[in-house]
Amino acid sequence: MVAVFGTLGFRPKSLIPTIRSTADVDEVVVYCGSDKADPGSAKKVAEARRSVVEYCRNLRIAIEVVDLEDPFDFRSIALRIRADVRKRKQAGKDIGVFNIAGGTRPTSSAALLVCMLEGIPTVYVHDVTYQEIRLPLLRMEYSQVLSGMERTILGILVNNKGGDLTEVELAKLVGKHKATVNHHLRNLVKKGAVRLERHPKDSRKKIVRLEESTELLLGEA
Amino acid sequence: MMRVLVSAYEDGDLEKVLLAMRSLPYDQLVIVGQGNSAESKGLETIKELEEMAGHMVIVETLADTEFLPLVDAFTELISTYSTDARTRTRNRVTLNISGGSRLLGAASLFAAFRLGVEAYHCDGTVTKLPIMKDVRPTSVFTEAQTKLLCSLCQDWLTLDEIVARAKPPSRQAGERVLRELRKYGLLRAKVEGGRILLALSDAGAEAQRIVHIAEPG
Repeated sequence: MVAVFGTLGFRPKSLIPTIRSTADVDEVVVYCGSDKADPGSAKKVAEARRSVVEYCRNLRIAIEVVDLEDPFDFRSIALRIRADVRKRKQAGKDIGVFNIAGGTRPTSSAALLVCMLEGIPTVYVHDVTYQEIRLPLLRMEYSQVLSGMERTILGILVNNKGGDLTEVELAKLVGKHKATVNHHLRNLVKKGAVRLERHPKDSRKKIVRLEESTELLLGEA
Repeated sequence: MMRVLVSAYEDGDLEKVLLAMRSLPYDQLVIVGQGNSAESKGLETIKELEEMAGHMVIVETLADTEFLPLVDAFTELISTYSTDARTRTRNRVTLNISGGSRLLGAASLFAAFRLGVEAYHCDGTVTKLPIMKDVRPTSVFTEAQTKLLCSLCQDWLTLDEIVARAKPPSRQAGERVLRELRKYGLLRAKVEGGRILLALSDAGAEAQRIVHIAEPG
């Protein structure tokens, strides 16, 4: 059975054709949200949402509508979508396609980012021609680009979220010599995954910090 | 090393560009738009601000309206600014994907992943995107996989034709690599007249493009 994901703005017709053209759909997950400062936009999004829900109900397709608290908060949206995608994948569900045509720009961009990281077939609908375009996504397999030690270091830093770890403390946790860990840390700094900050009390020490983007990269699941 | 900030733009994106200008260090600002975005009032404001700092804004207009040609154009543009034309040294390119039309924004994100360029979303807050510097989606491929990938096309080929083109160490080795590429979703396969035919999938064609960008010629 297949799930279709989509971002929804004012136009239900940007999403419904994708549901219609995908085989064996038994679930639709839709992300929508409106600009709180614009009451007109809330009304239009609600109407679009009603149409998509009605379409799915009539076809006996389960639908989950995710109301985004802030449809301009790129990071939260990306984390939410990635967690939802992973949940379905872990449950053995096939994600047929992700339609990124609707919704706010941050919502649509966050969805595209997740599709690249998770390797989900993605459809975009041209703003002007309304033509459905399948994006030739190549999954970004960062886990295969990182060495085993680099993955171990990132794993420890993720689990230690919020706590300060110096290079020496990290080396102890990894169970390797400081020079070995430093070599891998330098590679991770070069790749933009971690950064080193001066210790506030001891200038000889450095604190290892995960870049915020690494959390997006690894996902929360 | 010169720091180049490349920002996708359309009329109405002034605040997004200003946020990127405030948050991301740069020496040269490049604004990338489509259509008549180069004539917008917001862009005039950006130009005035840069002039006050003694700099000029470079404005690039991409004419393509189809997705993949637009990604190619954006990729080429980033590649161009990645090297200092005068000194031939490497620049540090940072990309702001939040501006521009939805199509341009998606194309810029695609290009950033293709090249492993540091990218940000600047709209209200600044979010660094999880793109590892200089790491491309094709970085995971072995030399043998890359060589075979480059010998394929989107037309159907028999195994004999592929072996003749790619010249793997042995037919078995070639078959093994083809299986690996198929697992990555880079190949389509069909049986015709008792023979297996293979061709690049859309993702395979994209992978081939990225390899060619990384190793031109």
